[in-house]
Amino acid sequence: MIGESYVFLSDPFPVTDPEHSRVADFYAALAEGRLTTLRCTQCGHTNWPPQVACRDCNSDAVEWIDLPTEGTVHGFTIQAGGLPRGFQAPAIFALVDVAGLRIFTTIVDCPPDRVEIGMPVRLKVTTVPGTAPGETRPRHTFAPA
Amino acid sequence: MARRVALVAAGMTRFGVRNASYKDLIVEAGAACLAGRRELKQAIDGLVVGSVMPERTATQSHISSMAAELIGIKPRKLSARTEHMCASGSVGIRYAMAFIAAGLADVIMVMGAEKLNVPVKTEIALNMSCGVDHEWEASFGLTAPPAFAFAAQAHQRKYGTTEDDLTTISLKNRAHAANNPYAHFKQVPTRDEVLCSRVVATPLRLYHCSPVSDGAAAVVLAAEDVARDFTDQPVWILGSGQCLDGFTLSSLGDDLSRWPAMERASAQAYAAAGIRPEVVDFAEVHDCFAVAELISYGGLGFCKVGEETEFLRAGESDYGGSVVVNPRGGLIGCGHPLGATGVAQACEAFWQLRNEAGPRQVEGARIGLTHNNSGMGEHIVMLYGRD
Repeated sequence: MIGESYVFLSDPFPVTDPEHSRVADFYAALAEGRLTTLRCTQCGHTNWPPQVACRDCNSDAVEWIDLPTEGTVHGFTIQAGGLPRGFQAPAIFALVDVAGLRIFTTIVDCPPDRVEIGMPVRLKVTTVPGTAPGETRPRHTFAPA
Repeated sequence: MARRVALVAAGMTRFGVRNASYKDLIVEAGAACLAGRRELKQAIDGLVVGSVMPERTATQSHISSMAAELIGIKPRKLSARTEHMCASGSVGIRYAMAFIAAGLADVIMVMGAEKLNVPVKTEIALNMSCGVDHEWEASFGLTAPPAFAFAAQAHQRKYGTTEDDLTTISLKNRAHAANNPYAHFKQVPTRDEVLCSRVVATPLRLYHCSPVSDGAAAVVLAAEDVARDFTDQPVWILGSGQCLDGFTLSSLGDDLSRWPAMERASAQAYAAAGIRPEVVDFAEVHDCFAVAELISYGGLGFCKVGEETEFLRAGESDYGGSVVVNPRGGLIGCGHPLGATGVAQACEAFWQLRNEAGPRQVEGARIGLTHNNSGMGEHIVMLYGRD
């Protein structure tokens, strides 16, 4: 471990590699600017976050659907410091309502004193470092609409 | 017929930023609880250890076996570790209670232990982020303070709760902690110091938050038929309840100012004990953040849901009020070594109900409640009483 550049144990970001995750398609779509999740074809429940069997009826007959990329801020908080290794302050954490789902995210491109409840926001795909030099991983952050 | 279960011994380490390893803390708490009593030690036939993240903070798994060896006990009937984030200790007590009630063991030590302070500060927050969903929450930098800040924002908007109200809770618990030799904090800040402390996650300031603490605590539970072999003042578990509504913030519904899982967990405990909230003399509640204590006043039935702020302002949650909340100083005053917290609450219940709590004694205490959350949608409540 000591001397190597990537340590899985201290990686704060998700596994986006299809070899190690069955929801990796979320990240592939996100890299194209699409926000997606898994909907159950048996009971119709839309699961958020996406998962490989429905949390309502537990069927594994789930399919990827596109979600709208616009939403509104349900609640927020601004963290000024003390973030985990890998993150920078200040961070605007928000719960954003998108098509009846409540998505936890961060608001970017917004002065902290401008964010408010009810504010319209739009998906803004940002990136964080990948697991190999030069690679990136996409994040579903939001910005003021 | 289930057997009644009592606490028969308790002991803990001082909580705080300790010059001690994870193992040191386990050894200290074991020694404090056993107090050199070989007859008690030999009677222990089970061990449960609540501990959240020793894999990350001490690079150690296999916790119960290690603890048994360090304390010098050889469990004959039960050895287990419980991990339920901040409620791990209380979850362990409830497991032990069920084992004893069912006749599967007679005398069980429950320990809680956590070493959170590690040499690299930014790793502490990264470790704490393991308590929320790694893929969908922690991967944005979420830890507990911003998660509970959403609830504080919701309570402020709905009920007009102010920063000053949250500060009242912090000052109360820090004042209580000053009377507790095991507390992380001995100094009581002024109201201005709290209101001017740095913002952690709006609207929560530093002194509205529990600190990052190391510590361990232990209690011994025994069946009613043998409890008096170890003490003439057993403290009985009267009832308990646990309820989960959801794990991620996305799952918790529209109104984060109200935590229905706490209302149902406490209702279970009161029903099991056959008592009403009005008879509770003191409560050790999970004030990981001041807003969590505030919401517990309604959630635990001490006042109506939504009337928490009035209850606080009327002084009902302090000495002289209808229920003394957090006489040991709570998590804000004592610190919050995750797995140890629920067990330390049980230690306080043991001492208060035996009239052994010294300057922080709740006069004439007959019934005490302890409460842990491990998130806004997850709660566990224990009720304790004396003969």
